[in-house]
Amino acid sequence: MMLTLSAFISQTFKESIRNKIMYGIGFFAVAIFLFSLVLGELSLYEQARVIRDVCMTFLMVMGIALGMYTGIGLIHKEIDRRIIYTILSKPIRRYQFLIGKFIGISCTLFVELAAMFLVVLGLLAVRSVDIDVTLFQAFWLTYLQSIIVAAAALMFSTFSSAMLSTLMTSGFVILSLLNPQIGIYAAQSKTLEVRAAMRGAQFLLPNFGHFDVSTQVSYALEIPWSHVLWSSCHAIAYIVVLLCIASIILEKRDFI
Amino acid sequence: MPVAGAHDKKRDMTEMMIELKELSKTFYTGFRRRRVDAVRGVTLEVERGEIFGLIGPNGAGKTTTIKMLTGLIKPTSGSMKIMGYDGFDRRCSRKLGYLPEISYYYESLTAAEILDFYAKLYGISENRARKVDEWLERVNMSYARDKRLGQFSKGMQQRIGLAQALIGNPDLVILDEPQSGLDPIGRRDVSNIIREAQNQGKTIFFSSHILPDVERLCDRVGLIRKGRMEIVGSLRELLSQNQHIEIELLGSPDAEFTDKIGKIDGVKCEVHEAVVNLTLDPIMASKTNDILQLAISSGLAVSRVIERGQDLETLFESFESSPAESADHTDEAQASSASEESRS
Ligand SMILES: Nc1ncnc2c1ncn2[C@@H]1O[C@H](COP(=O)(O)OP(=O)(O)OP(=O)(O)O)[C@@H](O)[C@H]1O
Ligand SMILES: [Mg+2]
Repeated sequence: MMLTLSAFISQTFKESIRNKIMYGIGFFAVAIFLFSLVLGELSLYEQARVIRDVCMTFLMVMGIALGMYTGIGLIHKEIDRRIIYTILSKPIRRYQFLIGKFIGISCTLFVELAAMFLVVLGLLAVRSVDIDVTLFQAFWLTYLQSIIVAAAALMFSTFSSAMLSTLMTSGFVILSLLNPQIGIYAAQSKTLEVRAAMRGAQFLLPNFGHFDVSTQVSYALEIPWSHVLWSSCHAIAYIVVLLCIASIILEKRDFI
Repeated sequence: MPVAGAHDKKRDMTEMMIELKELSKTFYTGFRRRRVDAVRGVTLEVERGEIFGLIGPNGAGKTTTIKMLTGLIKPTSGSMKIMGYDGFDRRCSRKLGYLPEISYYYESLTAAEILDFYAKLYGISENRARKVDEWLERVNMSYARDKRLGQFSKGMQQRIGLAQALIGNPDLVILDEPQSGLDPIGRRDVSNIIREAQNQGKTIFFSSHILPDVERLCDRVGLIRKGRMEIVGSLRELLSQNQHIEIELLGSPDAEFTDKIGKIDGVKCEVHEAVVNLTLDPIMASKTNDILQLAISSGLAVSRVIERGQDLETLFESFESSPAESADHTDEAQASSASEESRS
């Protein structure tokens, strides 16, 4: 069991790290550098606020994009290249494959996001902006959000084409980001059915509002550790549910 | 009693590795759910230690059959027993090696890393590194040990595929077109590996288009067409059907000899200068001695007598050229040929 998992984890990690990690990080570093060029215009106080805000928001966007990209690519690539045939005929359970893959990309995403975060910290240090614990908490929440996206992408790609899973994952991300607002709209809606549907969606989707701490980051406010802990639990529970659904689907499907 | 004992022992020895009964797979494709009967009622048995070759034209259902055997797709109907387990049981996957039809592997892993990965999936924890090196050696890929698979040619990938199928020391090896994409040396290597695996007591089930390889390797073959198993049988039996005899005689035959030979039905005679070639139809096989005597008494020297069976290719072609028949039609044909047999 552990051997199987470790096989999948190390394979996934090696494969994705060797493949494309440098591009994402390089792109991020260049973007951050260009951004820092336009900062000169602002007052010092504003600079600190804007740098923290923009960099961490950008990191969040990258986290979602990378989560989606790696999550979708993971299974489709194996099916396209028919690697999955050799794997699933081995003495393993399909859920082990899924969990191993997921842990593998979680590690990859961590390394990628951490590298980008280091770039951000570098810029902050150069600009002598305060580096506080809020930034690290925000980084962790961003990471959690990106692995939720990856898990959702993985789940969608167990039963649909790459195209369709991209669409569904995008829908999932947008709705999850809008989750806090859905409640407001639901309250305003007059039709019972619409209200029920919105409440249902709000209930089923994760609330990315919990992971969005941009206000605290911009103004260097403290984030209570209880919030970080609670959000981590929320994320993990959500991921477990997604992976369970994905396992059930994978167990049932034919590989043609 | 001793007879019964011996019988039992024989049964033990001929353990069935694959038993398929009326196995079928139907796909529904596209938006209109068009029905495709990829495999229709295949019944088949493969014994331990056999090399079984599955042949058939493109789209015949070979890959679909193999995917059912390896648990990748579930049969629509019929029953399947692999190594004594019903259906596809995970317990048999430990003893199963499989090479898919077309496969690529993780391109950024090296040859050694990929085999290590598959060895881990088989749960091999000790001596893994040694096993990996051993198999790289066996498929002649040691020189590319630390090269990434992205740089491999098709044939090199195929060798890695073969190594991953065998690294877990499986009892049953299922290979979907193992020789495709290989150069002559590669094909010979594959044949050698297959034969060696048989010598180690493994059972090999493979599909192929390369009939000479099948002919050289297999104990039994099955010919599948349009999802139906048209013939299954030992290769020797299949090829000895329609066996004709060729006789080569030296010397100039006199008119009397050619006259006599010409009168016998089922013997074809060709004369080129001082060489006479006779071809005897299968039914004339028992008359071979008489004909040879006749030749000797007419002063001809016998230089060669060859029994020539049909090769797999002619068998294959004869099935290809016969028109596609419906299910009832086949049954009728079989019934009539059976009744003919019982009459004779
Ligand atoms: N996933 C699928 N969906 C629909 N039809 C399929 C599917 N897979 C195979 N088929 C059909 O089933 C039939 C058998 O296909 P299969 O791949 O088993 O043939 P094959 O004997 O392996 O051919 P080849 O020699 O070309 O490899 C074909 O008519 C094919 O079109
Ligand atoms: Mg095929």
